[in-house]
Parts: sequence; structure tokens; C-alpha cells
Amino acid sequence: MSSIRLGEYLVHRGLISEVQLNTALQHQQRTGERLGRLLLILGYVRRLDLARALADLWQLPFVTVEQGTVDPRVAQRMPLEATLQHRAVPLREDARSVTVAVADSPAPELRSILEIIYPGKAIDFRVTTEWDIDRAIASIHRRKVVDTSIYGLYFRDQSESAFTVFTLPQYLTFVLLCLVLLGGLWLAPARTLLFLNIPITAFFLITVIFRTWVGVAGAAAETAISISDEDVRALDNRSLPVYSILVPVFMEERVIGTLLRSLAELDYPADKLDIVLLFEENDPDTLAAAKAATPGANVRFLVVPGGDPQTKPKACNVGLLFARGEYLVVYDAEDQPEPDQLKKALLAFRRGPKALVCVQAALNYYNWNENFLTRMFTLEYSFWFDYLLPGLDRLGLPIPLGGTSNHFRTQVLRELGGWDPFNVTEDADLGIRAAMHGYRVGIVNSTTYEEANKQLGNWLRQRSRWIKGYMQTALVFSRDPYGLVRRAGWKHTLGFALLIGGTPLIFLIQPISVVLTIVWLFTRSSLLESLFPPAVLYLSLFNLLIGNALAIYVNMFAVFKRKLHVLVLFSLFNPFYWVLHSIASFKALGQLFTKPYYWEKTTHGLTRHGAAG
Amino acid sequence: MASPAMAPPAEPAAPRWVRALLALAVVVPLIVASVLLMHGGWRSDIHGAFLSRVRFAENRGQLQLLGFEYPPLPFLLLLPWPADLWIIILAGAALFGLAWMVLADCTWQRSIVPFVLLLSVLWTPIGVHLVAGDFNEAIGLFALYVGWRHYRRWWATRQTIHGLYTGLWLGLAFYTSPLGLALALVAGAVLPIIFPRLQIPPFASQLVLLVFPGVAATATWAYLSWIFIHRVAFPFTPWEPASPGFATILVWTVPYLVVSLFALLRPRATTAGVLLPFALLVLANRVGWHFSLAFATGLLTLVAIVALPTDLKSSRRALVCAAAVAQAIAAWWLVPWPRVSEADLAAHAVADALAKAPDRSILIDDRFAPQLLKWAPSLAPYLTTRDPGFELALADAAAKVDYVLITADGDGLTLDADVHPPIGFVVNWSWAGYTLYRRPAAAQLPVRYDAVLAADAVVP
Repeated sequence: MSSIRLGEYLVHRGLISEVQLNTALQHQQRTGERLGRLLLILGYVRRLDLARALADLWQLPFVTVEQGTVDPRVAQRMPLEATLQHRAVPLREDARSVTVAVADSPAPELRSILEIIYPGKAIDFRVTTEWDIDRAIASIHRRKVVDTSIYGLYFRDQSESAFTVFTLPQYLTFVLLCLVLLGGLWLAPARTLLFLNIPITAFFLITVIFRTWVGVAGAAAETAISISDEDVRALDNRSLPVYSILVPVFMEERVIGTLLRSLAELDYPADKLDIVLLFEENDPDTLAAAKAATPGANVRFLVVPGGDPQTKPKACNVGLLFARGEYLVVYDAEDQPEPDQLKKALLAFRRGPKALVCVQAALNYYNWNENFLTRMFTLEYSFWFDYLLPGLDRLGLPIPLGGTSNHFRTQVLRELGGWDPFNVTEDADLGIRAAMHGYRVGIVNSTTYEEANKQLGNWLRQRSRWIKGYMQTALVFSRDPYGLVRRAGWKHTLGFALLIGGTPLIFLIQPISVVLTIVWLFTRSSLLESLFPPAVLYLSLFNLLIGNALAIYVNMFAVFKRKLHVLVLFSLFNPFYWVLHSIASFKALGQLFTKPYYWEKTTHGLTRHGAAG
Repeated sequence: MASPAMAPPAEPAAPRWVRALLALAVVVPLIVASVLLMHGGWRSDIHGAFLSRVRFAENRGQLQLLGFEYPPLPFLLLLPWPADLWIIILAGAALFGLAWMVLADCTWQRSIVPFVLLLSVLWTPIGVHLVAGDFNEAIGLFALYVGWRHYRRWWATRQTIHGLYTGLWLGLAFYTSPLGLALALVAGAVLPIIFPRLQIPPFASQLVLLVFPGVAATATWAYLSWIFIHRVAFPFTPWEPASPGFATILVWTVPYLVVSLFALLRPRATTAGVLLPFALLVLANRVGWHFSLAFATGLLTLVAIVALPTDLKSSRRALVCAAAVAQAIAAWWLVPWPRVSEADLAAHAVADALAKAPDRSILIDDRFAPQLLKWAPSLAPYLTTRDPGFELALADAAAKVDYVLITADGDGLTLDADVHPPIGFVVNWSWAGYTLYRRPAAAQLPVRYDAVLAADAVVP
């Protein structure tokens, strides 16, 4: 059915005006999008009216899919994947025919599939809205959607899921190490502590060298060609694919309005945006707030079926099932991405290798100067996203994805099994998993501004979750060390071990070093001399003095690069900030044993600051 | 210093192998001359002091026995292999790096003048001093020059990586010379001159970024010396003769003066960057920071290279080259070539003789024996003031050691050994200002009395 006919029909029916039609057609010339969707996005026509008009034009009856109009036994015979692919829901059947609701003109391929599923039956198509289709799918296939979103990865490959926290060999190794340590402390305490101190010191040293090396490589990445504003301007909107934006929201009624405004400001044709807000069943307030914000027609609401664990990755997996875009990005509720981010990410995909499955945008904070904690958090993020991740990218090491603003090729993400709902840093886990499967994760020079935690308790909850997630990820990928090396190679494995395994470990053992240093400074106790023979002592001093100075210095440059000049001196307070990390690490370690899947919710909307820029 | 517009491109166009060959050609004669000097039995007092300290620390297995004297980098670099050849390799590598970068500047400036300036320093006895005399200064010059180059790029490109490298290299330079920190301060202080519209927060942050590594290095060293030797040993260079004076520096940096004159004739914001290093050297001399004439000449020549205007008229280029060549000729004429002294030959012979003694069997006051220890192939035979048993041995020498050595500088052992043999010891030999006492039961340690006769045969 041609666009002109749809337009003419809508004008004829008095549903839109000539002027509106012409405006939409002009848009269509620029973006190449379908007229019906354009009219919806522009707000010229109601979704229901459009569906009715299409039904008339396609000479098919219109139907409203409501509770009770669908026979689940009939509908569930069509596999979820086919249902989602064709956006078609079988409603009921009788002896001669099967009634199928569609939101698009039925393709021959759909007809063929239906003829196989319902042999000998005539196919009786009815037209409905996309929203009705999605709602019906979520309702009819509820069990399958829940299972897929929770256990999809686990059933695909148990070894990559954090569902099992410790495997038996890991558990036995852990117990054995504890026993050896206790036995050693009982029989030869000084020697045992010395033998413990040697690997700890060496590990600190390696971490110092590794982080500095990666940080400097990240700083040097600045000199590499990145995607410029000219590149973005040169993009032809007609060539842009549909881009899905997944936003899992839970108890975010305070920020949902801001979120929708930020998304509306994205420099991407609105008709090619597929924005999916993912609500939890037990959170009607956020859903109500979203409805009250009257989002555009390119925003879909999906209510994630309940079921443990109730985590962000589970919601994202549901979103992934329903996403229509060729590319997909995940944002958090309080995110404010730079407007050209989607285009930059797209260009990064187009210019990158085929194996590039994901690009990560930088994250930073718009409320950086709110208090000491937000300043330190901003320092940390500036280093992490502006130096460390670009450094890992430049050195070809696996990149742990960070929080939000991860852009994916949707199809490859599905092939990878989506996010692990049992891992509380599902993003970091996914980045590493992608690398282990031979895919690349890249970096794009665009920033998403978020709200930095300004309350210590809130910060500790968030940080302990992140560290627990790193522990989970480290445990998952160390189940088969030999296989890991074989699949990923030494370089990737070492990079993974130092970053994912090393980060929690360094914060767990840091307090011991701090306490020993303080004790020695104040007591000059000779008891400690046995722990620090000359070589160990020199390396420890190197770690303490040079290592800390290097970490602080590189961090200074990270905020300098962000032009946050006031924060340069705050970098000197990093050692105190690292103490907070250690506290969070011990909390995370405790939870790893007691509540491994528990998602410590971070409260957003506490800031008094406005948005960035 | 160059203006932002003059900053070189990230990668100069000259083929790397050409640059490498040329840089090698610059360095090889210096290395050959230094090796000849080494084989001729010459070793600078500074290198001797570095080597003896490192050998001592290695022999005792305790890094803190380096003494935590400033500058620390040469000690640390010598730890893997405390030998003359390693010193020459390290200095050669540093000067190779310098030549490599100056050649890159030549390519960028499309001029041979920087290269001529460099040769006018290196291919003279001054250059030989940097390899054979004080490799620490060669490394210092290298680090300072790398820092400078990144500083220029930082101006020009505003890419933070160059700021990062500037701070790190100047911080490293501080471990060879306090000028690293001083120059970082200068580099930060001149920023408002280079960028007149620079506001206070970015200026302050850039100053912090430039100075932080140097300050951190200072604090690190102060802390280490405090915890190990209970005093802050900084800066302290006991073996260094007095630094050259204001007039001497001026006389030996004519090309720099010519370039400074050109800079002053066309004053611009960056002219301060040309003049301040000289002022720093003068100030450093006043406050007791030591450096050699070679270092001062090398540093100011590098400043001249950096500050050379790209659009300099050919007549002025010729003038700079002429000044450089004249200075080089003068250097060959006036700067003495290193010669082996009789005292050194004697000390070498004594050190060789004592090397055969058992471990910790020779009681010596190392504070009065730098010339002897400079030649000691190993510090194992000596029981020094830094050893834990020294005081006990001093109280009852005959029970603790086999030998007591008194040096020409004085005994320092309070044994009245310059008056009579210590109780329980007899004179083994007394020669060239050294007296060796031994217990009657201990073996003789004969020394080659003819060693000084070879003094004239070691000039390459």
C-alpha cells in the first residue's frame, strides 16, 4: 500500500489536514521512514485511528486485542520468536480458520509460517495497534518471557551464568586455601604471613604498573581519530537504521520526566527511535508518572513480568526480546546522553570491525560539585571512562561495560544470550563475555551525564553491588582457567584478571597494608620487620609512594581533560576515597555468600542540581 | 622556547632509520672515547662514588645502604650491573635519545642548525664528560628535553597526554637533578605569559599538574631517607666540585647567547622561556645545587635548539652555526681531556691488592677513603662505618678484623694509627698515603708499587 494512498485516505477521512500530510511527506523524504509511523511520531494521528485506517486500506477487519479475546492455547502454538519477529498474535481458531492479529501488512513469510503451525486452516488476518500486539505477546507468553529473560543465558551455557556462585572446584579451592592459611598461621605464623605478604606486594605492584600503563594508553588515545561533529553532520538521515533505547526503570518516578525530556533531545530521527521503558509489575507509581509525562509515540511501555530475581538485567532481557532496532542502547533513568550519541555510536559501528559488538560511551556527572562524595566520584569516573576504558580499547584488552550507554548490535547481543540476570554488574560481565567470544567492545567519544551519589549510604549500596558483580564475573570466568586462556588468549585473560578480579581484591587487601603502615609509623615495631625483608620492603614502598602518586597524577589529568579544574587538587584525597571502596568491598564479599543476586537499589533524584549543560 | 604555533607535528617526516643512523653516528665516537678512557684506567670521581655505593649496597643486600643521597636515579640504574661499561651504555642511550629528538627537530624546522648546535657540545671534551664523567647529567638532560618537547606539544595541541608526559618526565628528571622540579615550576609559571587570557582555575590546575610529579618525587625521597637513615638527605652531592660560575657558563654557551639575543630582538611571550633556564642555573649555583659545566652547556644548548625561530634568516643561521663551531674549537683547545692522576693509579693498585682479603676483614673509615673505594671491585673485604659491627671492631680491632687501613686523608678511626700500629697489628706496607696494618697471623696483601709508573700511558 503506497504512502500517498494512506495519506490521502487519512485526509479524506478528516483525520489529518493537507498541511500535516505535506509536513510528514517532507519528513519522509529526509528520513525514508514509513508515513504512518511519521504521522504518529509527529502527533498528527492517534494510534487507534491509524490502525483503523490501515485496516481499511488493507481491506482487513480491525480488532481490539483485549483480555479474553485471545485463546492462549492457540496463540502459544506460535513460537515466541516468530511472534516477536512478525508482530503477529493468533487470537483464536475454529474448524476452518485461524484468526491472527497483525500491526503490519501481512508478509508472505508470515503466512507460510502460520500455514505450517496451523495446517489446513485458512488465515484470517485482523489489524490492530502495535501496543495491543506487544501487550498480548507479553501476556500470552508470560512464562516464556520470564524464563527467557531469567534463564536464557543459563540454559544456553551454564558456565557463563552467575546462577551458580561457586562451582565445586572453586569452593574446594577456597576451603583448601583457608585451611592452609589457618594451618600455616598456627604452625609458623611469621613465615606464613611473609608468604602471604609476598604475593600481595607483587600483586599491588603489577596492578600499579597495569593501571598506569592502561591509563597512559588511554590518555594517548586522545590523539587517535575519533568521531567528529563533521562526521555526524555528514550522516544521511535516510541511511539511519531503527535504534532501540531500553530504559529499565524501578521506583524512578522522580526522574522519569527528566529522562523523557533528555531522550526527546536526542539528535536522531524520532521516527527511527524505538524507545522502550521497562517497568516492574510491582512499581505502578513509576508507570503512572511516565504516563503523566505524555511521552511521544516512539516510546513504548513494557511491564516486565514479575519473578525473582528482580534485577535490571532481567528487565533488559525482556526489552531485548521486544526491541525492534538494528542497534540498541541501554540508559538508566537519570541519564542525560549528549544529543549526538546515537549517531556517533552508529558511525563507530560502521567504521569499526565486523566483530565490534558494542561501543561504550563515557559516563560523567552533572552534579559533580555537590559535595565531597560527588567530587570524588566524578574524579573516579573521569579516570575510568576517559582514560582506563579508552586505554583498554587501545591496547585491545577486554572492556568491562559500565552501567549505561552501552550500544549494541541487537542481533549479536541476542546471540550472546543478552544480560545475565544473576550478575549484579551484568554490563561488566557482558563486555567480558563478548571479548571471550571473540567480539570487540569499543569506545565512542560521547558522554552521558548521570547523577552522582551524594549520600554515603546510597554510595556504599551502589558500590558494594558493583564490587559484588565484579566478584561474580571473576568467579564465572575463572571456572575454567585453561579454557579461558585457550579461548581468549593470555593477553585477554591477564587483562580480565587484573581488572575484574584485581579490582575487588585490591580493595580487600588495601586496608591490611594501610593498617600495617600506620602501625609501623607509630610504633616502629620490629615485629613487622620479619614481614618485610628487604626486597618486599622496597616493593611495598614503591607501591605506597610511587604507586599512589601515579594513580593520583593520572587521575588529575583525567579531570583536567574534562576541564573540571577545581577537581585537580581533590585527586589528592583519593587515598581516603579508596578506604570507602574497601568498606564497600567487604560488604560485597559478605553479600556474595549471603545474598549473591540481591540488587542493592541506588536511589536517584536526590540531587539539587540541574542537568548538565 | 617555541611558540604554540611552532610546535612540531606528532611524527616528523624523516625516515626513522636515517635518524637512527645519524643519532648513532653522533654517539658512537663518545662511546669509543669513553671506552678508551675506561681501558686506560680513568674513572671519574662521580662514577666512582656511584659504583662504590651501589657495590656496597648490593654486597650487603640492603638497598638503604645506598645512603639515600641525592640524586637517586643513577644508583638505581646501576643496581642491575654496577660497571663502567653499563654506565657508558646508559649515557650513550640517553645521548642517542637526545640526538634522535634533535634530528626530529631538524626535520621539522627544515634546518641543520639544531644538529650543528648539538654536535658543538657533544663532539668535544664536554660531551665526553657526559658519558665518561657523569652519566647522571646525560640522563638528566635527556629527561628534561623530553619533558620540554611534550610541554611544547601540550601548548600547541592541548592534548592532555603531552601534559601527562611533561609532568612525568620532569618528575623523572628530578631524580637526576633538582632542576627538574625548578623547570616544572618555571614551565607552569610562564603559562599566563604564553596564554594571556588564561583564567585562574585552569592556570592553577596546570601548574599543579606540572609540579606534582616533582613534588611527589621530593616527598618520596624525603620520606625514604627519613625512614631509613632518620634524616632527610636532600639534596646532597658530596663528591661534586663547585658548580661553574655565572661568567664561566656565559663563556661556554655562546650559541645560546646568540639565540637569546635574536629572541630579545623580537620579544614575544615565549622569550621568557628562553631566558629563565639560564637564570635558574645561576640561582641553582647560589643555593648550592651542583651541576657541571657540561650540564650547563648542554642544557642551554638544548634551550637554544628549542628556541631557534623557524623563520631565521640564513645569515643569522650562519652566525649561530659559526658561534657553535667556534665554541667547539675552543672547547677542544681549553677544556682538558681527562687524565689519570698518580693518586688514582695508587688507589687503584691498593684497591686491587685489598680485593683478595676475606670478607669484612679490613677495618676502614669509608668517609675518608672515597678515592680508594672508587676503585674497589668489591666492598666485601671492608668493614665500614655503615656496617653494624664497625663500632665493636673499633673497640677491639684485633679480635674482629685482620687488617686496618689508614688512608691519606686521615685515619678517622681514632686508633692513633697514624702514630703507631693499632694494638695487635703490624705494618704490612705504607705507600702513596695508604698504610695497611695486619694482624701477625693474617696473610700479606702485597701491593704493586710500580702501578703509578703507567700514568702516562693511558691517554687515548
